[in-house]
Amino acid sequence: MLILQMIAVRIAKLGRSVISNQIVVLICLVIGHIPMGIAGWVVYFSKLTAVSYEFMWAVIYGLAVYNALAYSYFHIFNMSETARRIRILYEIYNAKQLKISDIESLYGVDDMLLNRLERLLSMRQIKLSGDRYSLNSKSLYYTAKIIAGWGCILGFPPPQAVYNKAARNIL
Amino acid sequence: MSFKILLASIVIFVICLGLHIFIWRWWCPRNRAVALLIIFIIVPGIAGVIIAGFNWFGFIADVMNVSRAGWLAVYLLHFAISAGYILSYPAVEAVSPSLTLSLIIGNSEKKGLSYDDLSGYFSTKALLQPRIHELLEAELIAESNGCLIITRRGILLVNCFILLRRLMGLPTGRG
Repeated sequence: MLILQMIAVRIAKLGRSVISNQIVVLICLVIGHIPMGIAGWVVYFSKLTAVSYEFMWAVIYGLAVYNALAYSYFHIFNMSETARRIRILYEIYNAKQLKISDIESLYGVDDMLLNRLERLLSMRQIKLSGDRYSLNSKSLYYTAKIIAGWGCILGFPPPQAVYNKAARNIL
Repeated sequence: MSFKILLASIVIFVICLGLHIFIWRWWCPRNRAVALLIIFIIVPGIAGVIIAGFNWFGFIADVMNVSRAGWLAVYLLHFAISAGYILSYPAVEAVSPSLTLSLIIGNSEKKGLSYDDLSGYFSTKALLQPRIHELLEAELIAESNGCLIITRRGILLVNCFILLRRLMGLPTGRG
């Protein structure tokens, strides 16, 4: 998987592709089903005598384990790409020591927002018409709604509560 | 391989999820990453070893009639699903800016929002200070003479990410 991604990222860079790094990882994870399927066949499926329920459950089990682990890897990679905590750690690691105000000036709200808008544009989740951003795909929007709902079940305030306060001041 | 293995993994994961909701609503732990690891990875592992031990000595019957390799398969699937959940969890708690941007833009419907409209929803303090507080709680950074310094644990973590980015040929320090 890592080797596949290492090759794909370098090809994307050589081709000066505008595809986001997250999309490259997702493509690699999908292609990764092929070597996993071959390994599963060599280790287990080739030893089964006939196609049966055992075969079907084994396929479902293999797919579930691979996709769950692939999803976990996607999140680890995503953290290296987007996580604020990792960026803050990286800035302190580089500078040896920083004041909170130094971090705020190194990693301001504009830097954070422009990075994310650029990524959402390259993932084709949003589109830019003139100077206005609007949704291009609803998949991340629904994911955000599900995550916000799950947060409420765990007892956290909805993200709306965090930004609505600011929204009242500008709208 | 049987349906029992898939079912057992899902049942164990749902039990852990129930325990997680109960604990979070009753008393939200301080170090939540460690608490999630204990609930989803360590507790089911220890419970599995204890039950296997009781079963070995004949104190309890193996009601599901699953072999030891089968139970390892159950734990592997439970581990894979749990790892996915634990790694997704920060997005639930940390009010991810990307997801919040999707919600704000989605709720604006067709007319869309300009950059100035969007930047009005966020402030540097609201975005950074909770994350700094979490890093301090997780002992990845520490405060010394009014400055933040990185701990050994923090250096280890940041080096793992730097290694991953270098292997991929990508620049470090994004986010």
